[in-house]
Amino acid sequence: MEPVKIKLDKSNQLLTDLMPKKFNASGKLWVGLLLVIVVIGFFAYIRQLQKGLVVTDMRDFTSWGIYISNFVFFVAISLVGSLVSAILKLANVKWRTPLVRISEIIAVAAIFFAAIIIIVDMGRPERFWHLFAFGRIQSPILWDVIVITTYLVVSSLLLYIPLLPDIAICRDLTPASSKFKKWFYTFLALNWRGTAQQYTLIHKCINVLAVLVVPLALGIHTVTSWLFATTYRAGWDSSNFGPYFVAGAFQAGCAGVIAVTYVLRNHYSLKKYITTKHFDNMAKLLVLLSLVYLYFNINEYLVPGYKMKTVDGEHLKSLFTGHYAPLFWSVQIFGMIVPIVVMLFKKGRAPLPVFIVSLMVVVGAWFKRFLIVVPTLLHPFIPIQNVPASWHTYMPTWEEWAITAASLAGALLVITFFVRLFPIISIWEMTEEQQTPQTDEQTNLYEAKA
Amino acid sequence: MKLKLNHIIRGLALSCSFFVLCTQRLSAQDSTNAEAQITLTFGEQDSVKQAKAVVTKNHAPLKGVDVIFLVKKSFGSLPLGDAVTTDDNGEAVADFPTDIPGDHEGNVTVLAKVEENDQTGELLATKSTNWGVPTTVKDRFDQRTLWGTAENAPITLVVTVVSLVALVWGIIIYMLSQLVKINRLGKA
Repeated sequence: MEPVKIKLDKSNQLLTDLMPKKFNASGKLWVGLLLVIVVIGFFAYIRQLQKGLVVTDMRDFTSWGIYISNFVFFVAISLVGSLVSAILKLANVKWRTPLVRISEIIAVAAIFFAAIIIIVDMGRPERFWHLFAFGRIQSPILWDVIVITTYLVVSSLLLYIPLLPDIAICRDLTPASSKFKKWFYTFLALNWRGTAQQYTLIHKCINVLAVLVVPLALGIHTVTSWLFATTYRAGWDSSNFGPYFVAGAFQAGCAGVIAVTYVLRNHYSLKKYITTKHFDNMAKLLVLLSLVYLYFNINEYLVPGYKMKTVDGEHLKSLFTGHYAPLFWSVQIFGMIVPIVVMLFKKGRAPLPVFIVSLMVVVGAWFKRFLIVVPTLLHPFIPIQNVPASWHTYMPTWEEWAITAASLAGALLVITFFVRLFPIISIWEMTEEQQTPQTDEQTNLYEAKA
Repeated sequence: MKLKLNHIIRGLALSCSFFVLCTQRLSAQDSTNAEAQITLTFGEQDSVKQAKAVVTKNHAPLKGVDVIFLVKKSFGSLPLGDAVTTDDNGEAVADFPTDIPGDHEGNVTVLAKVEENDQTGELLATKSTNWGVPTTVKDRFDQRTLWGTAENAPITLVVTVVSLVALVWGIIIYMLSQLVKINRLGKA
């Protein structure tokens, strides 16, 4: 394989445009805001450690609250790494290049915080290691622990290995006076010299990981769905749950990438590289994924709704017309129907409208996980008499909101610091594309930037 | 010395008398407190097995008291129909169903219970009988099942999970070895 020749001087426009930049005033404000949220969440977690899970509103009925909803949301978002890095790569979609690293860092940040939030949900976090030491291999919980750990490692490799040539560029362009920075990049660059053999190895690794990550991604969310579907609980007892979760995850992840891409594109002036055509394509992809998810939603609610078995009926009534109806219909309409309709039109696939509907999809996706987890738990399969009134309702306490917000802010902080340290669009892959003859598709894509 | 021994014997005798007296008085107090009583017996009439509870107060039958008959379950108790009111003889009778599962010998524990009655307060009598249907529970504790202990996981499941984990982590380790190779190539 021919090595990619990258000019390390000011004449290389790619370096000027894509090398990491210091935070400006708005960047610092953004980091400060996220840090404040993280600190408040940390304080709330200290309170939870001191007083126990009693500071939450989780009781015997609702033993999984917004922590587990948030966990499912994070796992869902993380699937986007496999969508853009692997599925689109294996489908030979060329326009994906500027979006690959964005989606991979989202995947790594999301799956990392999914693991963190599971520990937060534990009343005795110091016993986390018991899962590995005493876990039963028959339990889907142990399968989930295994698959999440594996997916985190594979996603990190899928982020890190294609980053090597760009880390080497950062290393070579960092002045010797910035000793720590120089050491940091040198350490991470693994003696990258850009030889033909090294490029051959890197391409081989990316191809192997791209194939490996697809079944892993399907596995991670399918196993997460089995945490629910292997019970007899109303709303969870469904053989449809695996594909239903996977479809929802791809939809949420795709919307997440679009939202983050829009912000980065505007903040770092990347319009030359992330064009309107990218948003148009991603919007079309999001419509497709939303339609697939809509199909699974219809199956998931219409079939039990037609039968209305006693326990299912009670659960569905609380969603369709009962306590959770406003949230349920808001999520279905604003998190799915409206985005689909908007993006069916060409004007709706322009960057700003796509950004807005993507945010709607992401917010809807978070609340959808809440609707999957909580209402079912409020309808216990075996009715228990004379229970305290507080067991019949669930309203997260400020500690739960603070910790959940902190986990979301933490994931955004990881992405923010990554962008500060590394090129968010792959310089060597963009150079490689420029050095190879372009297809009609690529020519059209980058002509559209003008 | 003789005198001393005599004193000890007399002292012991006195203590025993005091102890017996106290015990008798306590028993008398108990019987006074337990004015209302419930007794449970089993019998058969026309081949129908029946549980009979007799409620008395100060040894006299008590009429009009609602008695609930129950069978003890692993968790909680199973009511045998509605409450039965005692007759002039203080008796409440309930037919015992023929399909109540018992232990491997058919033993069941029957409860006769009076709840919140002004005259009696709460009363409870418990008695065992072998009127249940003998039930043999298969002991699968040492078998390999999905609901067994970690050591008793089904072999097929263990093989599947371990193979998948080994395969994926084998590839991950191979990827890490490639990173080492990239590093070495750079040094060279």
